[in-house]
Amino acid sequence: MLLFKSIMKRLASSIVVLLGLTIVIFALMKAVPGDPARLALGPNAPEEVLEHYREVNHLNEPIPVQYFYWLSNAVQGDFGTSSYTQRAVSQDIKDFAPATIELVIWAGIPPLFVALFLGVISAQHKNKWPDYLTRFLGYIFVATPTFVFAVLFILIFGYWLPVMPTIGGRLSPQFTIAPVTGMYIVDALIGGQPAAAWDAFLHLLFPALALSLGKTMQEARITRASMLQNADKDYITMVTSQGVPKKIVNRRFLLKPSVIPTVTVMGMDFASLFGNAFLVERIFNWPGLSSYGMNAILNKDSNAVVAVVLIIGLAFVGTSIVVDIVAMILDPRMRQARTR
Amino acid sequence: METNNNILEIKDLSVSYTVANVVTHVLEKVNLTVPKGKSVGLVGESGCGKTTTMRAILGVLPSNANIESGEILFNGTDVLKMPYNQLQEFRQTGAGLIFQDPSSALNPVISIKKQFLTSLKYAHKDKNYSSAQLYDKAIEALNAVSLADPKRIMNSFPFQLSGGMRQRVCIAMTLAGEKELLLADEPGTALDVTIQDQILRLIKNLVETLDLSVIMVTHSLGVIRQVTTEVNVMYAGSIVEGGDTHQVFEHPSHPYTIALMDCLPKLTGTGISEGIPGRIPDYDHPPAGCRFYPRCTYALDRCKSEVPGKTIVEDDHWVACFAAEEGKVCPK
Repeated sequence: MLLFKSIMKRLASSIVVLLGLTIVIFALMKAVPGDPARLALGPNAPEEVLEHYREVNHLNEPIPVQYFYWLSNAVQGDFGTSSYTQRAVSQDIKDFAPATIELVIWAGIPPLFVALFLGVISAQHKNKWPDYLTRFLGYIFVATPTFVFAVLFILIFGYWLPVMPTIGGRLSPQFTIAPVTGMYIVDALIGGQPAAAWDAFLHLLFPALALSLGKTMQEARITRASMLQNADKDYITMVTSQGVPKKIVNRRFLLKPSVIPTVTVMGMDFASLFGNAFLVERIFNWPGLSSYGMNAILNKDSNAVVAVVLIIGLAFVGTSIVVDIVAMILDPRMRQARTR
Repeated sequence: METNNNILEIKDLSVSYTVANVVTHVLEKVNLTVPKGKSVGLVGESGCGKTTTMRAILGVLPSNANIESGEILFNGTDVLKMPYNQLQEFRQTGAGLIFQDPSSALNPVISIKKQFLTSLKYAHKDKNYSSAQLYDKAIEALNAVSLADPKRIMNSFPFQLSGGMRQRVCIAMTLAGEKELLLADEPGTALDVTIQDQILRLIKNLVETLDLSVIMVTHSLGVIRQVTTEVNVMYAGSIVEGGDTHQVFEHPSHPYTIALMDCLPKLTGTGISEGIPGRIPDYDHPPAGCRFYPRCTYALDRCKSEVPGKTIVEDDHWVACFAAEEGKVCPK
């Protein structure tokens, strides 16, 4: 009950955050120099056509009114037309977002468990070889930029040991998958095409790995540090001194308070993948939101930029809600704090 | 053999901590004996090594601590040399520790019920209690420390309880384990006097009825006098005076003990005492001789470089002090 109330409060407050976000984005869009009508219609368009465009798109109204029009359209999923692809931005996003979501989920969720596992192993074998190995690899992986991994993977797994489809993309051309969710692995499984699902998985595996290796190791380090810090706390000494076996102490009493910081960091890492996957998406030819957004920026396609920024903002807000809920489940003190 | 009657004997225990590559020698050859069924006091200022001694007994020192030498004999077996399984058994049935700081001794994200029942399950591992029996035992223990509404407390998280309640929960958890030896590290310092009194009486009662042995760690001489039959006065990691509580209180012989007693506010006294000038020495460079030497009003030249040995004061009372040995210490 307390948990439900806290979650409701959290959702309500995030609506305010999102509204604020739209104002900022809209203001930025207006602050960018250049006539939107001219940008949309090109340098040779006659003045009457430009005027008509302004009239239709409410560009002659005061900015707050323009914001209202824009917001009411945006709420209905209409972000205008992309000047670069010449299609509705919403349609573009419908095509690109599932690819990114699929990539981000695979780069975000399984690595969390790997990170927790490595962190726990590392802490339990402090200053022994599993710890040294994890920390050594950790330094290397954290310090290596994602695109370096991407290039290395293509070199190693594309050419030397050809297990990976080097053309990139999401699927080999011989397969077609009926779209259901837009996420190919799931769709292929729903459509009863295990071979296509495996192919989609291979396409996904290496970009996901490239994106997640550094973050995974960083999260493992945070888990290790907080486990070691908590291991000397009185409440652990207390149960140890009562003769509770070490395994039970670690599993039931030490792990729970120690994963809370990792979960928080992991949430932010996860959300940042939506916008930061650009280089990896480019190298693997992955038709995702990051590369779409980057193209939009390079082509001064303001409608598309705004939509992409809004979606990234949504991802952050959504993830932080999930993280808060998980934190509330793990830490009873958070529930209390939220209802106050 | 004298070991027969002693449940615990600590012999020449030295413990050091390593903090930022500096080794601090906290415990220096501590000797402490607890006869079976007796309540023994350990008194001294904050930071003199009382808690370290308690934790060393259960093998739960922080990870930066290092036991340099010594033996901790529990019923004749050295705890420090026990294999893991035997050590676990010792912790489950042998000795239990009441923690000093109630705000940190309970896991903040786990319910009292789970903490309590897990601890009890292992403390009574040999008896094969059902979880309902364990639950009843826990409720009984919470009642014994005068906590109202124990069922609600069982379903609470530590942050929902007050400091005093948390401390009583900790005390109840340790007492419910029904160990042979109770290590009480300043029990009740966070409680008001009436509840503290109640808990001390509870412990005293357990000593008398269940033949429980206790080490009572405190900086309150009043508690020592009330509960213990023997006392050890600890200063800067060494025990400087010890023996029968009455004899030590009647004829305190170490300058530190005398100073400590002078610090007690007296109902009939005139104002606040002056305290003991100076402070506990730095453990990374402790004085070579007697560790109390820099603060001692009776200090002799030899105190600077030599560590005093035991001097018998009366039949059950000894002191480690050169000045006392020469008869130069006279209580005011």
